[in-house]
Amino acid sequence: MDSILSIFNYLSTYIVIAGIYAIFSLGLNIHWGFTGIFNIGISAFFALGAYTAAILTSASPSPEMFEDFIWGGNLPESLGFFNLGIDLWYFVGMFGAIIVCGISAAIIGWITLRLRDDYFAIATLGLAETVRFIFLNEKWLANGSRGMYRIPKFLGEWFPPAYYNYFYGIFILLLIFILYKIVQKAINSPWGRVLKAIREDEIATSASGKNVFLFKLQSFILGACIMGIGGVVYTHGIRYLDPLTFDPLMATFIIWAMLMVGGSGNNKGAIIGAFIVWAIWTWTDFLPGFLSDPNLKFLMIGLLITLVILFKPEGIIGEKKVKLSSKDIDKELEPTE
Amino acid sequence: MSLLKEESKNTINLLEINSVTKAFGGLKAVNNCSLNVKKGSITGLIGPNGAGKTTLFNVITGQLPADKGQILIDGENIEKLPPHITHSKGIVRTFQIPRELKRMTVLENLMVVKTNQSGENLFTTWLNPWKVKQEEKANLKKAEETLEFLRLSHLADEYAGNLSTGQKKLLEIGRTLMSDPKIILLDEPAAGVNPTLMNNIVERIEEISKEFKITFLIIEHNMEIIMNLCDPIIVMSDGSKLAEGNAKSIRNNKDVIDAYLGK
Repeated sequence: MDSILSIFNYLSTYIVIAGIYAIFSLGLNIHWGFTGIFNIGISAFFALGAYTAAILTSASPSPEMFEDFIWGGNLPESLGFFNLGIDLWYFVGMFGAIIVCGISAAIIGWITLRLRDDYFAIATLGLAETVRFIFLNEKWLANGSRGMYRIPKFLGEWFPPAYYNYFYGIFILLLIFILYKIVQKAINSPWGRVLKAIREDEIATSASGKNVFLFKLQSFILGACIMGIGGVVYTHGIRYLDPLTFDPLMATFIIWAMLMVGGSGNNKGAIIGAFIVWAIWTWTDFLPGFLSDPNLKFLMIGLLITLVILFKPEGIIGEKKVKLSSKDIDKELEPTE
Repeated sequence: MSLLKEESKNTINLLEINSVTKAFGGLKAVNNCSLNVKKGSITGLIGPNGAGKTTLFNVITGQLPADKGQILIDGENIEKLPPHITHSKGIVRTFQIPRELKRMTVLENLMVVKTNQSGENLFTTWLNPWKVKQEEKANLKKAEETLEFLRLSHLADEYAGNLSTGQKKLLEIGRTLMSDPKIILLDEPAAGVNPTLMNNIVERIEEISKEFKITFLIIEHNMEIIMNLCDPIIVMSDGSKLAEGNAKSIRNNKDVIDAYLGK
């Protein structure tokens, strides 16, 4: 009985982490899968979202604990009078993170999106490292390398700590569903069609009367906001942040692997890819003997990517064709399954 | 007096290019080039490789900024405008090597072109999906009519990347028709196309010209097409206009024979 319970506990934690990655993957899918924006600086928006939420919601710093940061927004306390059984502060923090990520993406995109693909990629990589070093060195902002802790839980007092991840896992799945619906609506619209056209051929798209730069900027902002939401969910799920969280491997490249495996250009693929890759990343711990060696994880992920590229280059669920011919003119204009 | 007026009305210029220059480093691809395209005409643009024909197209549509000179459409200056603005002024083009949107269906390729779609605003798609859907229906209908006109209906749901070269060229012509243009610039519409499809393309061009009163400027190396389809024909050489006239006068022009046609 105990072992079954521990398996369930483990699964709930798995859903929390994989679900958080699924949100990032959804954001990256807007950038790469639909617009062809080669963003390898996901961790920049991950960090901005996560730190914004952490700074807004953490308790004020206490000097006895050698905390260097100066501004703990302490929203759970200050919004106490709003607290009519619903933790509104969580959504205020999320809103703040969306605003910060959106504005940063607008400014950065305005400068860098005019660059060609490969130069843009280098710029995003630089951006990610810059953001990480800002949070590492500006101790007044986010406590530097000691990190932010004492980050509150969403609806923490409602659930006993041992079962909290069951709730949070379900909450994340619900959030993924809502984000999926929002993104899907945007992608299956004329707006999304222009993004796909830009992905296929920028020159032809601008010769068709579309302002390519403005559409790319919008796509960049929307994707960055979703990545920011992922950061918020991470913050309140893990409840500890330091700049090491945002190293390129675990905060950017594993998300690329998830999107490639799941299928870029398909939002369902993006979500499923996150769950598959995270399963391989963590479940290899249970393999017998030398197979559980942590270094073999890299090999496993590499093998998975290679197999997918060899046998199903479009990903496990690739992009679906949008069939529009007259027989289904009155149906919803969505891809056929 | 009245006769003169009538004359000038008939030969009104839709597109005027006044001493345009475009240089790449030391090479003047378009060199002090001046030419006019009359409203309603099918004007041919021929010349040897490297004469600057495609560069001139790129300059007209705003893909490349002109170094010097003036470009006017219906009397309005457009030489400083980017491609998406010149498109809205009624100048549309096709490409020498087709630039179809590969992983999008033929219908999507057409529907994306339509201008002023309210569904291109992200917030409208979220907050007013009904309005977007109504527009999409009209857009889809127009795209299907265009496909029927081009005899491509059977490929409506095919990925554009899977089409043959000739079909891609037809699709590009279809894209130009989705936005009610004033002038269509065709860059070698018949290159690499089999004879049957070529006839189809030529017939469609004639039909568009007659029925929709759209002006054409066509680059083409196939003399049979140019001589039968186009009047007037403009010959370009070394970045500027060498000669202009109807098929017969061009065929007998000594400069043109030396520079391009050969004996």
